[in-house]
Amino acid sequence: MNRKKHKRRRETPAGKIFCRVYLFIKAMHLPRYPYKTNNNFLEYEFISAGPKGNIKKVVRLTRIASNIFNLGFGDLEESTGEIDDISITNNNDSRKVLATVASIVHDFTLRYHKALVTAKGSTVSRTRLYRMGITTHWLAINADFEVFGFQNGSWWPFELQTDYDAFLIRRR
Amino acid sequence: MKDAKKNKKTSSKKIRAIIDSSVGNYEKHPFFVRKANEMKELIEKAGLPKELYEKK
Repeated sequence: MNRKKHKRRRETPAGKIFCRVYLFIKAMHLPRYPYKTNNNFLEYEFISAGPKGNIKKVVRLTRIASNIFNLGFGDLEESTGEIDDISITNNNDSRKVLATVASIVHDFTLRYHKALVTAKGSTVSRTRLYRMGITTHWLAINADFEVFGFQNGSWWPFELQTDYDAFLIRRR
Repeated sequence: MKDAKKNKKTSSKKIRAIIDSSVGNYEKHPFFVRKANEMKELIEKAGLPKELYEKK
């Protein structure tokens, strides 16, 4: 009975707006790690904490054309200086890590407002994980960003339930 | 009500990063150079979304 009542509420124009606002606020308050950047806002570091201990993650937005930046991120092995994005960290915090990277993109595009940001997972399953993250928070992302997916050699406006090989976003 | 609207507007425009000069410079790190080159190659081949050209 209650469910039916809630469904009816969601179907009204006011209910739809309420749902959108609720999802937007929910996405804005996802748990994320605190992160640091230097003065150029291109490099970011944060610590993933979990059962495997503290793992330093580094994110960099590398300029590949005048206003196009590629997002790369991985685990920093401090003793060797190597960065790894292939191994599975198993720190039980993939959502929190993804939310932190999303927040970094949010910050970066506030600083570089006209930037196009590209991203590609290190493996097919990681790229799919990015797609799932975008899908889950689509309302909040779509409100602020235009999103494109790369598939069959071309870029397409992002569609839910579609797998892509890479992503490109731009602040609206 | 006006204040609430104003806060909502500014909250999503807030930079959350802590600025710290101890953050490393990874500009020439082979990992990021390789990732950037892969994407550069993709864009050189496929271009950008046509919707972006239309808006220019």
